[in-house]
Amino acid sequence: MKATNELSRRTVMTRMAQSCLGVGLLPSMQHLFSAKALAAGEGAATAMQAPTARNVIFLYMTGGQSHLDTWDPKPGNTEVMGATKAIKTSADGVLIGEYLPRTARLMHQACVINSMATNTAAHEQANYFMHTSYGLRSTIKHPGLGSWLSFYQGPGNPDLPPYVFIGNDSRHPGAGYMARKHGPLMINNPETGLQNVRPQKGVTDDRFAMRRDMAQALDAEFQNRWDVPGVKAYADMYDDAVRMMKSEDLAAFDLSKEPAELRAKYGRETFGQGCLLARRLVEHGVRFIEVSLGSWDTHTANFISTPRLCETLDTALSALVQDLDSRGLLQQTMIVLASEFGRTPKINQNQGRDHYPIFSSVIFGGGIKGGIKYGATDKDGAQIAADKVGPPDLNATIGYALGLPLSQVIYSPSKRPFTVADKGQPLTHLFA
Amino acid sequence: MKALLTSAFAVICLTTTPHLHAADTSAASKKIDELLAAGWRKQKLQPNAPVGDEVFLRRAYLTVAGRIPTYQEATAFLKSEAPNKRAQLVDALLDSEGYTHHFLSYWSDVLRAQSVGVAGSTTAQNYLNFLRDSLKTNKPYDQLARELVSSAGTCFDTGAIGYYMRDRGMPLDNLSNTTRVFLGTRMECAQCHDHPFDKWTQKQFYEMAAFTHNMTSGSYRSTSADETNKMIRADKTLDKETQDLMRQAITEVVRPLRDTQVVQNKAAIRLPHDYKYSDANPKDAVPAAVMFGKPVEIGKEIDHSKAFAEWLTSPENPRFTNLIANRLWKKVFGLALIEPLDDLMDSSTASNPELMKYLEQQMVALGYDMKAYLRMLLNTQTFARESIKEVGMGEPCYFQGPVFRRMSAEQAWDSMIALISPVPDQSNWSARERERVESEKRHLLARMLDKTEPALLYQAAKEVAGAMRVQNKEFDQLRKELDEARAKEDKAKISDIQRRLGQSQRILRETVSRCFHAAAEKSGNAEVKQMLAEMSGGGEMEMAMMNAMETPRLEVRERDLEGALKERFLKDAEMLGYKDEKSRKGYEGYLKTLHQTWVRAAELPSPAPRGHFLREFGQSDREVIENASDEASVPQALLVMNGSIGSQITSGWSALMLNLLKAKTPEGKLDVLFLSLYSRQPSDSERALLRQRLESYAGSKTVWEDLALAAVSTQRFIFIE
Repeated sequence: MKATNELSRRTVMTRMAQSCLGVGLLPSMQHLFSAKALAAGEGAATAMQAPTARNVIFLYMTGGQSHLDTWDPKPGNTEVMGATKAIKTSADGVLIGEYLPRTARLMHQACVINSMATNTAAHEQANYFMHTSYGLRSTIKHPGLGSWLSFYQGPGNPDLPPYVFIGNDSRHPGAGYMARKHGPLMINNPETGLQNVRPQKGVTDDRFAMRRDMAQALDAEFQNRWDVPGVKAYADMYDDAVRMMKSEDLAAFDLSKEPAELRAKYGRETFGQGCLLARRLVEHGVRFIEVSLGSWDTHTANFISTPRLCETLDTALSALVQDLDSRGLLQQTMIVLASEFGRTPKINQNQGRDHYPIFSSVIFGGGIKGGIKYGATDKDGAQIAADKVGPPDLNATIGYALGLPLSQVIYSPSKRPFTVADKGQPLTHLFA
Repeated sequence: MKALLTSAFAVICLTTTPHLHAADTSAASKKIDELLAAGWRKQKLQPNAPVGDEVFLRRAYLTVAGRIPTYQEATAFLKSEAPNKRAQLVDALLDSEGYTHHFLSYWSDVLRAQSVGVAGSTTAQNYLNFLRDSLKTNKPYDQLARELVSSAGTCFDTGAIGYYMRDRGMPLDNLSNTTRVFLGTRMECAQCHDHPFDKWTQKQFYEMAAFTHNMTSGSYRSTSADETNKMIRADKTLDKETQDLMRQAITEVVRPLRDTQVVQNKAAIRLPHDYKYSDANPKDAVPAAVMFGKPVEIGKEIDHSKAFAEWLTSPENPRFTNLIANRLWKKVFGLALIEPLDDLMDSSTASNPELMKYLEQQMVALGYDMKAYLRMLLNTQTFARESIKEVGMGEPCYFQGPVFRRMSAEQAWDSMIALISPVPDQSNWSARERERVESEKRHLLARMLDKTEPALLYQAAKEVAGAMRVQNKEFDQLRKELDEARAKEDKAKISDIQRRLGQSQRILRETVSRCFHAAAEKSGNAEVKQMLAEMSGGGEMEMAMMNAMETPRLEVRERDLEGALKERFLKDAEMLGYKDEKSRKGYEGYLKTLHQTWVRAAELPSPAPRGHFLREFGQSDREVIENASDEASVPQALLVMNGSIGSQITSGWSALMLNLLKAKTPEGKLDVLFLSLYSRQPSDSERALLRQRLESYAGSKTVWEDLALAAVSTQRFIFIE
């Protein structure tokens, strides 16, 4: 059994390498994807470091979350805090914003990184940098971290996509230059789940079967004459689709299977239900799920909008941590909360906060030490006071937890060299 | 020989006439066949067999107009006994709206043209419309390229500035994209270091970038608004908060004009701080110089981007001509003579070098007339031969026929539209109209701001600042209520506060437009008075400015049906027996709104939203050059079998279903189905097989719907023979 798995994994890796690289490989590079190098690539994931996490749930705060009002409050400094107060948490010495009371009770399980710093204060660029560890360029698109995981380790469940994105943000980089199959399946609305997996209204099983039967009758001669891989792939695709419609794994996308009480506990907003869906997907073997919440772009009336957004976040995040924990999944599932940047300590003329390249991030589970803070900003939340962490470092930390080979170079179809997290340094000492 | 003479003659003419209309390319078509045949002899290959009218018809439609022929179009062609009906079809297709749609989809992929995104929406839309018009008028390719690369000014002057706006803030990437798109030369590696696989050095890259790096994309530069900001800063009687609020007010009023202007500034380009080669020092200024070909003279008075564009698009620039000759060849035959076509190196050789050379000569001789060049290719015997099944990765192709391939996402969608819509090539007129009005309104806003006296704008900003102060007080009140509501966990109250926050922001937007509108009204400038009259357009005056700042709406259902669609409606309503007002209105409404959703891909947002049929079938996201895919994926099958497109095709009002309805016998219906989807009648064996199937399902009332959907989900539908 193990042997066949090994073999199929090897085939998958080879195929992935081929589809990723396309044609025209230079001889000097071919060795990278020879069987030997592949074996090393495979082994590297375990040889370099033992993974501490199997799954990642990445909670992305679209628009730039105010760090002062959430994870990096400055108690007593009303000039930068405005109307926001700090509250104590279940972790000694860790204070957070008052709008996150439920999460405050779980902070003994969390590691707060207060010294995140990015290199731009423009949404699109910063969002891209956080997701890919590379700068936004118009000559190439880089893959998100979930695509790297799929590239190196394949799907967690071969019948489900390796990577799922839940939310409405159209900015996601997707698979970048990698083959499309490494890209996230995009789900706009967690309540409706997967699209087109049921026949249209009025189309009974009999009619559906009849259509398949007639399609085969219409196509037999053509498929016979044009016996090329492209046509074969399409024939297989229909078979796979029909199989998928009957698959038990489809239940992973069906939130109606969750008790009403639990659904309410996550909050009935899209984000809350998205977090619940993320947990279901983890249980079914999907290993990287991103859920987005926005918009945190509070240029105006920050002290009205941020509390409201925090309410949604606090409800969902606290439910997710507790739910995963009670199912014994938190140890192997890393929850990472991140944003593109933070917001100005200075409160502007419209009672808002503008873009600011310093912010915070939070990690729960997946082998991370709980109840700690890492890095710090100064008394105003304006400068990094210690241990600066860039988006590549955060991504390298996640990659490290997943056992990805951080230093291995791969080449895009345009023959440019890339690594997971672009040489970011994993924060290895944050692991238990 | 004759062909060579013709082309020599054309080259001579070229110096006086920029391009030739309806050039006779039949001799050139023959020459191409001869050159291909010489290649086959050399490789000991046999040409593929000629195809029948049916395959030619479907292939020609998909290649030129980007969709399958409708039932009526297919029937007309197959019935025609004209001896030169194939050439006539090619001419008609090149002249059709379908050509514009199909090639706009293609160029949008090459140029990464997006309806929304990095480029502000007005510029983005005007850019797409610029490309659309260029294709519609068959603008010579070299002229199109020149207009793009030398574009500057506002998007109201020319949509071509979208070329630079698309790469706003990334001038080095823009240069890499330019050399790739127009010269087939990949330079992006040389942005950061000498190219590892080609000869380009980093210094050469910077020399090239020196031509265009200072094409600066940004907001509309309103002199009046700038002047007002200066007055605000200089006014010492204002406190800091008021100054901030007033500047904010100016920002609000010019917001609709963001990302609408490209200006070439004077800044010199400098090598990066970590430049590591010995031929120059880090941070050295780099003078502009071209990477190959004839050196470009640069003087102080010479417009860099114009000089660059001249060099780039010159017939003496071999890669410029080679690339477009190969691009269009690939559009017709499925592969280029050099693959990949846009990664040219000195060592690149075409699979048939003599042919390549001839095609380049023809491209120049035809004055870069893309339609004439395509006509030449489409009239070759080789285009009318059976497809080559497969060409191995990296193997040269000798074109014993075109290459068998899957439809592009756009061809697949557009072919579905041919089954759904009675007028498949109609434009998405309400969207185009909305874009036009929006662009005009913004242009008016820009001109009005320019002409209104800064002192008046200053007053308006002051008033808006007052309103913002009131709003801030309101925020304090809302915040107080929010604290109470949060303490009580009163969810209804919390969402009510959210609603009031939105309302307050809307009121502020209205205040901004009212105050600045009032400022314009006080202006002593006659032009402003004229513009105000234009702007009000019969609506309430105080909302006029607001309208100028917001996207207009159009009531599609209130417009009457016209032309072909009106005729269709009258005929079909008759056939369907619609006598009562309600059924007639229902069908009429359906036809009126069809153009918003069920139109050609090129008339929909570029790219289509994710999850759309087009995206699932691999439409490019327009993020990087030629990013489309023809890979199979499970969601595609799910979409065809269970998605809304299926129910649209099988709905009673689809073109296909109406044609099926008109055929009275099962045999006749089978003909309609086959002609509609596969552009041919069923063979005898197919007829027998399907007759048998139809009999076994005879009890089913929906059998024709089911058969139609089955037919759409076949490979013979989505692959091009």
